[in-house]
Amino acid sequence: MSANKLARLSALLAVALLLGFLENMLPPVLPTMPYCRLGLGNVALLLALLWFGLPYAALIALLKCVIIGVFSGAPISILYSLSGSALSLLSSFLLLKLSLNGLPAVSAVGGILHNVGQVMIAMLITKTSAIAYVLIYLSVFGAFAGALTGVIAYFVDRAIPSKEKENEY
Amino acid sequence: MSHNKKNRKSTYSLFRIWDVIVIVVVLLLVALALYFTLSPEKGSRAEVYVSGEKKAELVLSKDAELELNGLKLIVSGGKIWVHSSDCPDKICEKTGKIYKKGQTIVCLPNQVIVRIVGKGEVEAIS
Amino acid sequence: MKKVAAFALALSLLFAFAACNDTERYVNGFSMGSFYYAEYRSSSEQNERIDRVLLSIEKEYSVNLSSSCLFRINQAKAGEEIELTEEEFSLFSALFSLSAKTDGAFDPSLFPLVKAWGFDPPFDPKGKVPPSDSEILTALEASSLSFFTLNKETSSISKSKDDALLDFGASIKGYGAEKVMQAIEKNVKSALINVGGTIAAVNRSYLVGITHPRNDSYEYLFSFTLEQGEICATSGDYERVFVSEGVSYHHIIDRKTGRPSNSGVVSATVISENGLYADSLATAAVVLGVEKTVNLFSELGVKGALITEDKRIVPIGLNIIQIKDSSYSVANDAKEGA
Repeated sequence: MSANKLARLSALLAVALLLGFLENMLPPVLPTMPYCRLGLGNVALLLALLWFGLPYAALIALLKCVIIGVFSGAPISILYSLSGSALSLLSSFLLLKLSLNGLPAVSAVGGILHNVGQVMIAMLITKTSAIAYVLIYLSVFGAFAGALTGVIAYFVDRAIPSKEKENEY
Repeated sequence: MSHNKKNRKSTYSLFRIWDVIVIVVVLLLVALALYFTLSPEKGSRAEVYVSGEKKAELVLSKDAELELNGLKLIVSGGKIWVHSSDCPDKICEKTGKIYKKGQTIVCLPNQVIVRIVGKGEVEAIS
Repeated sequence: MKKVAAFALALSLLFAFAACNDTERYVNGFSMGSFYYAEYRSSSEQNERIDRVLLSIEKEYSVNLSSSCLFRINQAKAGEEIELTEEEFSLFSALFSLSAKTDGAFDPSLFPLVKAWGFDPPFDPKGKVPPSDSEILTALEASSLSFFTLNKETSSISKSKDDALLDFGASIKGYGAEKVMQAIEKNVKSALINVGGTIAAVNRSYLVGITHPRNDSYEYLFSFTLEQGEICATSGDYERVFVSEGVSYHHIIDRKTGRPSNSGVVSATVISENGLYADSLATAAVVLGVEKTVNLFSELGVKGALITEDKRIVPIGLNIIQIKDSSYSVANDAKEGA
């Protein structure tokens, strides 16, 4: 990897971490699911996916989850966010490949699935299925939050010249 | 490094028709998954076991009569009870009407257990 | 084509929810004077194993079956040595020492007194009358653990009085539940074992409700979480009762009075990883009353909850989740530092 590329990837990671930490400092939107946030850090993840492809985006996502989890003092959150990010990234990648949708929609689906992933982990940990009820509101919430990050990502993508990007869908 | 403003058009769009379709589909899929996970709660039923084997299952919402192994069971008004039995001590008859999850009527000589099942708020009662 | 396959992969992830559950199975039966029931999730059948464990315990410890060691020691004459297997011996020792710790509130040697009151199995409340004072006295004279001697070298037990009798009815359901748990925990994903109301939570926690002691139109009075590996037993003055001339008599006899206990505690729930303890201590708690029970529980490292005559629920190291009858109040957790 060239130093230049490493620098650009690190910049994205830094932005993701920054936004993630800022979000964590705010009180949770839903008291029952404390690890559920607006997901602003996903702007950076989505951009990583757009500009560098799935493998690099996955790497950045992994690092982001681990670092934020370790520093937030609740290592269990790593499990939750990894699960959410994995589903979210995968679905975003597939939708982008299909080239049918605008960015906000791709991100909205990613947002929904991010919450799905987190609830699945919660179900495994608490060994009850009752927690799945929360997905009724979380899905809608995740769709809106995702759409928001998608809009932001769209405008950032427009602002960055294409020679900084190494990937096309 | 030149930033040609005219070339800043993104290869991605802000909105396409497919967006609505895809999001609706995904939400429907999530709803479907939820449906299967949180399966509908069954109403109260009474299970009848003879010598440890399940022989009958009666829905309490439907009036019914069942004769087996020397016992006559009656379901009425959401409850089940032993109407008559050929056992010597008749404890099963004396137990009376049961209807709550976990309640049982037991006839030791005839090896019959009647038990109320169904999703309740607790999983067992001590 | 590749796109369709990719999409299908994405969709199938969602259905990971409903999938991957082992089959839910049930088993039912009779043992030790009451029904038993187990529901479990496992890829293999455990019914036979569960039946076997419980029926073999009944064979060994039921007062009515001639195969049981209890039957043999009860039928024996003073001085006769009855041989015990290693497991039987350690069970006897455990119960004897537990009885001492409860200051006789739990006492397996009270069987003569239990019989005098008519609470020995099979129990039929019809036509029962309380025993006379002299009958109680005679029974008390034969009811003492001091009449029994356990001999470690010969692994045997003997008694010094012909009419001294033993009964493990207050403990055996907990023992059974624990043995079943040990037998199946490696083979099941999760299981709930219910032996006559004594419940064991295998490999996961379960939500358990406690019978309302005075009003059975309530499904339960309060609920709590029984953690994985724990066994809970409940004893109450509502379980075996007969009424004579307008007075009701229940089956938990206080050896200090020779009569049904009257400590203010009407129902006791004990939770422990040791099933024997849970069951025996539940009986003891009803006899001892609130204060002594709290001390005893802390000493023995068990937790639970008591329901009193005056409609209070006293938790001891236990988190009460829900109360269905609002006329009952919950006291502060009696455990120190809770």
